[in-house]
Amino acid sequence: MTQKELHNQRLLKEAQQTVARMYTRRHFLQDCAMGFGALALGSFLQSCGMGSSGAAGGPVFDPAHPLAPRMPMFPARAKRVIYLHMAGAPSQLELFDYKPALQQLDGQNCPQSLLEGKRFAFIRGVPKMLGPQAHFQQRGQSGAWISEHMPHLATIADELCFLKAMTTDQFNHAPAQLLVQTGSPRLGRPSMGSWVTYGLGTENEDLPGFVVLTSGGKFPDAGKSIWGSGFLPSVYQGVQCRSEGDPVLFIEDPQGMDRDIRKASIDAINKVNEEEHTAYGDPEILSRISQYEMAYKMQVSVPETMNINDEPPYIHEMYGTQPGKACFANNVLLARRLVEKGVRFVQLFDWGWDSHGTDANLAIDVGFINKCRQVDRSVTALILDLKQRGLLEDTLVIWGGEFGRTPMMENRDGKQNPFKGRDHHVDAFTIWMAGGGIKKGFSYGETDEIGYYPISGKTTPFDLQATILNQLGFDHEKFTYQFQGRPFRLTDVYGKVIEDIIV
Amino acid sequence: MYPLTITDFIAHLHPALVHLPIGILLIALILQLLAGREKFHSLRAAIPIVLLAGVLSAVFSCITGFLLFRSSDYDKTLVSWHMWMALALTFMAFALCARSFSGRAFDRTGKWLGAGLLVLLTITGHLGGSLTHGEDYLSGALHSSEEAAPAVIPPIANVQEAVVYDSIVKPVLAVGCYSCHGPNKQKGGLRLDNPAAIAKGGKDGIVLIAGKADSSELIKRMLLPESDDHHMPPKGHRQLSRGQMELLSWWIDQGGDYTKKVKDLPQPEKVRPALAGLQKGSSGEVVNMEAVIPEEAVDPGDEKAIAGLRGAGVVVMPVAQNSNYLSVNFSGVPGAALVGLLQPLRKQVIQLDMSGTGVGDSSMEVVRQCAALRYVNLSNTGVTDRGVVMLGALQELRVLNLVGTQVTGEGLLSMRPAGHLHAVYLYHTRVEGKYWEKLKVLFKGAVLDSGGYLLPKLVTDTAVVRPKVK
Repeated sequence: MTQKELHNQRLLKEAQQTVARMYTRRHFLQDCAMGFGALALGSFLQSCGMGSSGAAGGPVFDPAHPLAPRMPMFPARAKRVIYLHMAGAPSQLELFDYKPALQQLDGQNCPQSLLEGKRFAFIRGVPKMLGPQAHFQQRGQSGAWISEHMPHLATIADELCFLKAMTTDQFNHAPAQLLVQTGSPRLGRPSMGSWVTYGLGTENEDLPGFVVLTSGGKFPDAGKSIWGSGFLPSVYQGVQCRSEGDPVLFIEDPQGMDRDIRKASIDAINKVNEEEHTAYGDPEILSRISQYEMAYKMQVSVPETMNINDEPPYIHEMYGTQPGKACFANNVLLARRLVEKGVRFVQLFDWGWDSHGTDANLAIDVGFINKCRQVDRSVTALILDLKQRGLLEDTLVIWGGEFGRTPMMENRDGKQNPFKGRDHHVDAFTIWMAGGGIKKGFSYGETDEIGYYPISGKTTPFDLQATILNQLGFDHEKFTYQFQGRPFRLTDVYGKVIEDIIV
Repeated sequence: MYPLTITDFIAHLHPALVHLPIGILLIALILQLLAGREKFHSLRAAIPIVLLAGVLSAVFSCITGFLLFRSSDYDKTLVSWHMWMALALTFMAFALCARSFSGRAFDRTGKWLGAGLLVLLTITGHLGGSLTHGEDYLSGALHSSEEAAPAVIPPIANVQEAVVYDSIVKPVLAVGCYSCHGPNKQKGGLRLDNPAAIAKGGKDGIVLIAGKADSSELIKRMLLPESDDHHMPPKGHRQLSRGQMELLSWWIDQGGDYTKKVKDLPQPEKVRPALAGLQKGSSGEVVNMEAVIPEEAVDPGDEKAIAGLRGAGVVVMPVAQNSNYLSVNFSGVPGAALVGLLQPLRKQVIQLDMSGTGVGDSSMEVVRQCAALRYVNLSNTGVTDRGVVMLGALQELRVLNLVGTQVTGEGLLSMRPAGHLHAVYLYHTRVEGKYWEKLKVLFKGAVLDSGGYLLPKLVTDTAVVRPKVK
């Protein structure tokens, strides 16, 4: 036997062993058990009269059509969601939670009773109280307090529903953002948008069901996990689109390769994958095939949808867009275009709201006001534009941060900051919602005289999530995914639908 | 939590221990029965020792049971029956045991003792079960159809004339509280099934402060998060609905009177929906007036038509699980050729989105037959006045979206709008301003949205605040 023959023989033997190893005792038992189990279950289900309808209970993951539209548990009031997350946490005390009593205390030392047993991100020792750094006025029929920093938004106060006693238990950005968006302060849970696309699929098969847009020059602190799919199949994670340059990276045809060749190569890859699937039956392979197909469709549909240039000039003016640049206003306009095309969940993150007072951009009386001005016009335009197109009927818009800001002026490490600023505050903050079957011109929850603690209508991120799912037609307690041997839900073991704010 | 003493700990072993005498004595009885035959004669030797083990475990069970009886709030009569039966059982087992040691387990008396023991075992065990799981635990399974029915307050024909306590408060308390705080059990020493007992309160004090629902323990406990150990009714038990809690709070706030009628008490806005719901005998749940789907059920839609639409790329979805009502979204698929497929589904379709599909007035001939339609989106289609007038036939219509169509004011004025209609979207249509007043009269009760909102240019849109130079 020559050296070469010996080598070939060895290779052959190894290949056989590998195949044998892949078909293990466990596979054998599993196949048998599944086979018998399926037989038994089949006849059992048939006797229950379930065979034909098939789709009883919660959503079932169909790897071949993971994004196929699915029905909600009960009739929905909202079909789409736009979540405007102001990353860094805007100050409720300069926008919506008007506290004249705090003005009287301005500059005085914070009483010990408010500090005992508390832990702040940066405040040390005894800070001074800081009165509202804005003029407030009651707006619209509803009389909601909105400050001068959002003059446009103030004109549509009667369209909004404020949750003024939101609380959280995370005082750092990343965990707090994760808590709001995924229901857990730690990494690894699917985000709200993933849950929603998992539950409802998408009605436009050419576009992703869950799109994420960011602005403000920086990513949110929690990183891409806040739109991750966690333990849900990866096809449900948010697709981040850029508002400048190519909306989705690496989706353009490479130079010298036209669309037909691209199509042919995707077909070839899919064919190989299909053979692989016949051999192994792994559902993730089907998932991969459908993702390739979707990417191919997205090559056309995404650039088309993401191109705001075909909007008429008056719409650009209404939103205050800056075509060609990466900015929040462009993203807001894109959000409307996306929901109009049937995208289920659009998440916008705008960074720069962390008004500590450590520099001018993060000062409550400088940078914060500029941030407000950057979003005021476009957000107002969004609500009005959705409204005039009849989309606000079944589109839920949410605006807010991950926590609030303290009624005290921040004294980082016991020293006075160069500018006026407020530290992170977990006990009270404001968010607002509009459309999607939520009451208009309504305010829920109240805080005490200085906006430190809620005194009524306290709500948590879990309550918010439960309410959003409820509007989309899901019972947050029954909407689960089996993982690691137990059912998981977005709201963990918490959350109550805030029924008072539902129409 | 109060500290658990060692006696409490031993007492709490009772529910586990009792299974020992039941099992062991049953085995002894089976052995006794079998050993009577020639074939199983050899089993006789085992009987005395098994019986002895049974007697010993019975004695321990009795001791722990007595300790538990002293420290808990079980129904007195049930408990004493359980106790006397258990004692009788233990003595009888002892007698049989003694006989078996002297080899007399198989005479006439031994057999009678065995039969008696079996009867006592059954009775005692059942009584014990009734104590832990409730008296209707076993029998409940037999008439389960009644038991499983949702906890509703019986309908009240004339709510205003009803006595608040008898007709509203009592049924609510019965649903949520009686099983532990009623005639059979008084957990925490609290009984809630008559006025005197309610006023007396429980071990930890009074539960109801007339006029102050917020300070009343009864309400406070219900409002705690369900995960809280002190939340009532406890986790896993049937919870009270929001409406039911609102009714209870209202009753307490208004003085917690036992004789007054509904009409005698002030009725703030908050409690009115719940009160109105009582007329229908609802569960006190606040009914959403603007329910998205019709109340009456409908047969499943024609499968061929559904498959035909789906095949063409139209999204046809039931509006909810267990509902045959459909939502149809053409998602931009050219609709004129497909619209005929809606005809067989005319009773099922309640939401129809044909936006951007290029359908025209002729398609409205089919749409108008879909009498259940509540939501119709015809934005950016070729629909004109002729089509819109036909839509007047849709009596259930709630929302009509005509954005970007050629519809005019004249057309809308000749439409007979449905009474439920609450929003018509008319952005980018040819409805002129002069028709507005007339339209508002015709479409009263509905919001007519002409769109075209503009935002004024403000200095703040572009001005940037800069830090003051110090």
